[in-house]
Amino acid sequence: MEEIILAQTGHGEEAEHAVEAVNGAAAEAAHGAAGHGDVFEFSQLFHHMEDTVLLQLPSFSIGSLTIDLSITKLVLMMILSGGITLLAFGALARKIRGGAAPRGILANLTEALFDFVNRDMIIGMMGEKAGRQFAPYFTSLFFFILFANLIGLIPFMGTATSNIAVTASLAVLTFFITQVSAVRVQGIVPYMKHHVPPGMPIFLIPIMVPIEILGHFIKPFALTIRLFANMTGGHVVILSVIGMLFLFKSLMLAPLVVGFVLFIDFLELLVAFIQAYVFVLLSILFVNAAIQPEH
Amino acid sequence: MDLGFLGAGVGAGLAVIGAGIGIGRLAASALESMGRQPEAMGDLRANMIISAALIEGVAFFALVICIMLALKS
Repeated sequence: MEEIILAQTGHGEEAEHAVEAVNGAAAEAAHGAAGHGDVFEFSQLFHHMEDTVLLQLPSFSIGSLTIDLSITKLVLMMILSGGITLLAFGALARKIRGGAAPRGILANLTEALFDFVNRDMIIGMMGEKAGRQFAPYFTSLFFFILFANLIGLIPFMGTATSNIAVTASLAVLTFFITQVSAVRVQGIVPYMKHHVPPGMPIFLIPIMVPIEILGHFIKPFALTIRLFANMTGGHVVILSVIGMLFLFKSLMLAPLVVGFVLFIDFLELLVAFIQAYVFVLLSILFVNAAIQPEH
Repeated sequence: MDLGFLGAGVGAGLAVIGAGIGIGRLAASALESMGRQPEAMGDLRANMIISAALIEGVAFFALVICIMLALKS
């Protein structure tokens, strides 16, 4: 993806040449950071999209698998968003458990959002009983994604959710919860029987059963791609618009570019909320379909 | 020049046209329903966002294929 955008910096030369040249510049920028020369290269803007290792930890291997748990920028952002979630709601939960009414700026700020997620999304969709059972997971998921998205909008920070590995692991969690709760609630044999709806013509079974099974894997894949593409897309649009300044080398364009970038930034703010909402809502729908198959 | 880039660009454009038509129609009818029945607004909004996300998901599948095409060529 980087190559596509970077190729725009070539002034109509052969695309391959431009890509090579720009790749070289990117490698240089990665090595020398912003320190070399006084010319600011467009590729340096990509520090926002890149993941850099902050703290190298020794990697260890199990069999042929090498595991490297180094703290990179995005790992730090994930820890940060998880920590904010814990801090904001841990304090609130302790207060309420102690019997005190939630008061103060933090409580008022978080309570409205918390209430929306809990009452409207989870209990509204799943019903009182199942909703209470799954509320802790989905609430944490919502606020983790929301804070990860919002942290990405702060300059010099990174968007953890614009890494496909992060979104994929979140979707895998949803996948396992869906399958495990489906087997636990329905039992393994009725759950397997569900893949063959009653009254289906016999010649359709070899076609329909693989499609049904494939559907289980496509759902979390769609969740992965949706969150990843939305969070990456916004940044790429902003970088492309800023790239126009470097392409035309004209300051006259600056007000237009800055205005448009500001507009996209506000759109990103909206998208951060909507995508957290959509990810959690679709997860709730999948789990709900698994535990209440008659609905 | 490689035709792969052209294919990726045209494909991305077509995918976006499809998603645009889909979400446009969805929003139009959702807004009309909200206008006719404002008391059902919350319910309609949730369902509208779910449908929009599903349409968007299909468009993203197409875009991912285009990106893969562009990176391959």
